[in-house]
Amino acid sequence: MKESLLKIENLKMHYRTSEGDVKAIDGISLNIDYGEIVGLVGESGCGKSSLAYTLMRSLSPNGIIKDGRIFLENTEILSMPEKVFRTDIVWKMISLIPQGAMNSLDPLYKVEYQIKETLLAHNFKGDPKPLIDELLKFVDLHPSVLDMYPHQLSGGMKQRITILISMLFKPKLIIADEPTTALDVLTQEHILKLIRKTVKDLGISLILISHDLPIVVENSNKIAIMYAGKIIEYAATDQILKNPKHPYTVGLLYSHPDIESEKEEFVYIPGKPPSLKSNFTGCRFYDRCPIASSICKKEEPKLEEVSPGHYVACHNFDKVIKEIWNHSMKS
Amino acid sequence: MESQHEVIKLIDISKHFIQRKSMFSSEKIVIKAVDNINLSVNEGEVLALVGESGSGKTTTGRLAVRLENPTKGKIIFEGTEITNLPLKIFNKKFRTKMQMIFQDPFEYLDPELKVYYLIAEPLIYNTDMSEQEIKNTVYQMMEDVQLTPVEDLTNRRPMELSGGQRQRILIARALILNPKFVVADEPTSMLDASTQMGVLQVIRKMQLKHKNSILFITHDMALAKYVSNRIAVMYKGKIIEIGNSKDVIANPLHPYTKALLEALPKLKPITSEKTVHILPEKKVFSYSYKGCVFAERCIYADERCLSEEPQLVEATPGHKVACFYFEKLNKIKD
Repeated sequence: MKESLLKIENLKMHYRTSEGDVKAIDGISLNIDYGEIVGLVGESGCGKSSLAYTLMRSLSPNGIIKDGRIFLENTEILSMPEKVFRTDIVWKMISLIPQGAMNSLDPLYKVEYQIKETLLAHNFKGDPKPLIDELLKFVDLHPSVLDMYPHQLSGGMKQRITILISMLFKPKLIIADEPTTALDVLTQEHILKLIRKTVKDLGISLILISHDLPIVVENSNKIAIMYAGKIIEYAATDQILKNPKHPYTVGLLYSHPDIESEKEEFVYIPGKPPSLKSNFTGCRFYDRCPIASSICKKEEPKLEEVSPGHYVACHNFDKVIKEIWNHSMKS
Repeated sequence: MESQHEVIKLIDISKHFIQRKSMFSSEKIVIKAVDNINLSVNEGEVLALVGESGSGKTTTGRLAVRLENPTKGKIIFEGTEITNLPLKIFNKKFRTKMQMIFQDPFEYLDPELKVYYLIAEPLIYNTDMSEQEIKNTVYQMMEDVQLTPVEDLTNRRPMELSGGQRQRILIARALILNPKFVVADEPTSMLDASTQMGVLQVIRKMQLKHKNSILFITHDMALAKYVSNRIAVMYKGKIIEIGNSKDVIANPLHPYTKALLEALPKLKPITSEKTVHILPEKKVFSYSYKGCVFAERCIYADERCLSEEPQLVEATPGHKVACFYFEKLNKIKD
């Protein structure tokens, strides 16, 4: 069997605050293979972006890695000296397309300078011109943008620049953190198309983080659903769609309006996610779950492989059907 | 001219904003946020106004409830022209009949006030109800919008509540005077997917119960399909297509509507690469144009589209489109 590109083992990252630790990532294990797009979906505050920043080791000072290991091609990257990590891994092996790309470019510098700055910071040798020209063509931008300031560009163009920067060193893994949030539908499609092309043409693996299920469904090979700091279901995209096993996944699937379906009912999940400051004993979804039983309150379900390649963290996964939500709605 | 069942009617409404070309320039440019549109919302109807950011949909909504004054045009509300009515008279006679549900539940609620007062406030200032009557009405409304358990929530402050609950307060505030006409401006865009549908369901249930007319502003075609009876599509300040929701989604006529629907992510994996029939956006957005607003991005545009402006024409009963070539385009599809 081929080795995975990225292997996350029992990762825990907490934010230290005056009111106790916020357990943003509370025991996540995940494997990502070469050339695949893994979608990471969850509600706001479930820890999706925290995971991205932990992988980049660029956490805010109160973010503390409590436990776990991350292997990139069999090299552990969490215990690596900071300097080695910055020069050898960041941008060269893993790069990030940050959330709100519109604001991640410096307004005071021209685009060309910002691209060259990244190159210089990571010891690029030689003439950058051919590389930049090639990448500009790849992201479908006219070379004249190099001489412009960020405010002269549209949102979609700025996002193309951040994609270009993320590709400068041809990394093996790109993390795209909500790459199209705040873009219009048509621009969004252009950017997603570019992301698909990047993965396909260059054989890059990608983690696509989004709160928008249809975007992830259209673009990923596998989907991981996050809830309150944990992954609660992980499977191939068509399995998630056809055969969802966690009640939360089912609720999420049926709460999305779909332009192509004729269904008229609304499904929604009552309540809100628990505070990440609490100490969990049972399942984190207990309060909102329509099929919770007594064991769910006592014992936290582990993420287990229930059929080949399909992982679920639910005690009652074999009882999950779509109707559980319809009943809860009518009552 | 206006028939009885139209609750609100916008006639040839425009809103132009004037901006300096650059910070130190004396040259002015006119931004036509809303340009010469006609729109009416019928009794008991939900009309969805769909468009991308900057298309003028929010401005249209604000014009309809007079949070903004039009540059030109007329607004008729239940047979009375309210365009130039002095605000004092307007507020007294009409404000309670037209309300707005705002987009951001995190910004539009006073953090100091308790839930009970936030919902009761419109009743206190606009009616002669006794304290007991107000209490009954507020409790009933809280039940209706599913702010339950009611007793438990009345004394909370917005900070202690979730986004979905806060949005329910905004809905309750807007609906408590039982207005004839409501503008809902992206009421769920700040909410998570799992709560969004709950809030929409509340709006829909209340609308069916009280037969309010709603102008529902959204950028999401799929949402529009769910909540509305009719859909109007806006592009750069113009309405380019309007019709029965099912017609517009199943049989879009304008090339822009078609592209929007093609680009919309759907809940199934894509098998072959998607094609969206639209030209990339021009770098410089021109504020003055003759001809069709969509021409510079339309793959079918010819000279006529650049020089002459298409008007909304009825393609099939109730389904109007502003495009010279919609018939020809439909044949291409088949």
